Amino acid sequence: MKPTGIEQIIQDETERRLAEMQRPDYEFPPRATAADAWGIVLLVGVSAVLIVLCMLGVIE
Amino acid sequence: MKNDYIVQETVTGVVPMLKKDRTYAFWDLFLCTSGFAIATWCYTQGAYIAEYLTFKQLLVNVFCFNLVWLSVECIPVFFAVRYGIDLWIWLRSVLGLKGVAIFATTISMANFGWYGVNARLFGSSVINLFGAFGVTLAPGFWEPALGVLCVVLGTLIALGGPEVIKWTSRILVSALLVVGVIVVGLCFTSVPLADIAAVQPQIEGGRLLRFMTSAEGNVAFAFSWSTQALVLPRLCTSESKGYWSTNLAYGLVAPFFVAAGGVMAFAMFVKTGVYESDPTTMLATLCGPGAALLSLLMVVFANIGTQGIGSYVNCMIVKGGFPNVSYRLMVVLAMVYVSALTIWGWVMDNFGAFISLAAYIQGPIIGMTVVDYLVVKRRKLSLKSAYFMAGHGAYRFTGGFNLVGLACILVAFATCFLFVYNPLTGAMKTPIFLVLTGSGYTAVCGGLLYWLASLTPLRRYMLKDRADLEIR
Repeated sequence: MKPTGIEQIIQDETERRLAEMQRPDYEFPPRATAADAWGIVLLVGVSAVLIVLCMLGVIE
Repeated sequence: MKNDYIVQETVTGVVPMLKKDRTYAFWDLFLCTSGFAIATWCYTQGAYIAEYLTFKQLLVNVFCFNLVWLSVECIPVFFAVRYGIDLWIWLRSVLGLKGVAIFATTISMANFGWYGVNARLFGSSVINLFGAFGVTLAPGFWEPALGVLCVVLGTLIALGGPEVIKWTSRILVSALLVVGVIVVGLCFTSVPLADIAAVQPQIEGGRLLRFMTSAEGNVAFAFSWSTQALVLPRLCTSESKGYWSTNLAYGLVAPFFVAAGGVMAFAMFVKTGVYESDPTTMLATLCGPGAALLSLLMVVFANIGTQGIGSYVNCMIVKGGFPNVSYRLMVVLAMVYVSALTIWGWVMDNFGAFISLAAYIQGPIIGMTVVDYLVVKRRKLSLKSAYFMAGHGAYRFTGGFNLVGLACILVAFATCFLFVYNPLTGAMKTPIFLVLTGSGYTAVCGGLLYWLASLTPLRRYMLKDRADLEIR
């Protein structure tokens, strides 16, 4: 099916932006770090322990 | 004209956002997301679960279940920030284009149920506020009428787009956070902490069943953000900022207000023998009519802000499935739909069943999303295929549907209903519920099935994109 005017504008602009992202000099936003991963593990771990303590009746 | 349209489609549409277009730092996204999350439904949720738990159990239940699930379901935020796209563009690779159109619309229609509740609570709180000062408004007319007013005012914010939302949030959420702390302080001043801590659950049943039934509410609450959580982060400038601002807003700030609702419900129970969920009535009873004015901020402005941001987010979700429909038209249609829900009032009357049912659809998608990101696609997506660029057809599935993804949702949904927990009757079917909750089961089951499918020959159907990863 042939794209409509609006559809074509969106498609062209998307294509232009993806081409820009593909350029070697395009700078992506800074990556997540190991600290983020450890932060997630810590947060989930501590929360899970507290939940289990409640489930076992240790925290009443 | 064309340039204006492109700008509009970037910030309120599906076009990828380049790094130079991003305007949201940590605090902007944190406040904006918090503004979206904080609304009267938090107090409703808090009062709803307070009847099942003691004070300490309530704090653990509210904060820990939310933090666990939010920490997991927000992981794909890293991806959304990196490529400047929202979850629903990526989900084209998991559900197919038509699958996204159907689920994006279904989930947004369900999400808007929350805004019907939000608007209705706005109406009842304003009526109570007037009542505290001796002005009686007939609820039959004024509750839906004021609710519709809330929807209309929120729509005006949504029509302003992300910049208006950003500045509204900066002012509003900062004030709300301060008021939230003041309100909790007032509760503890009005009723001693020892009395609140001594309240025993009023709902009958075993300790674990009560705890997990409350957890079902909190997991469903956490899931309710999931499909909306990955829309705003595309505006953020770094992966870490995007992740933590989103996770902490939904996982810490919103639960803080849920806990505040629970504490107020406990305090009201100590004083009056009734668990009350309306913050205006609670404040007027606990601290006098003057304190009820605080609910102007807690309810009136908060709910208008939530309606505005929620309208933006959910219209963006639907745009993932229908990219050619104008954002403004969608916002106006959303206003009409939410107004109708507000007047109807069904969602408000069936709050517990509603949040679980909505979560049962979102749960499998959360599970599949996380598994797809971390294990199956290993953080690599063909962006060109996701946008169906010429010559890139890795995500063109059977008739527009990824049958594997759809089957996972269907199986998770049906087995949960049949074998784990029926939210319509509140009946636990098996002890699985006491470990995962019903909503949690749908996420685990959906993710597990999707991963198992990727280990079979279906992998070739699911992963046609490995030779098409041009943007890394």
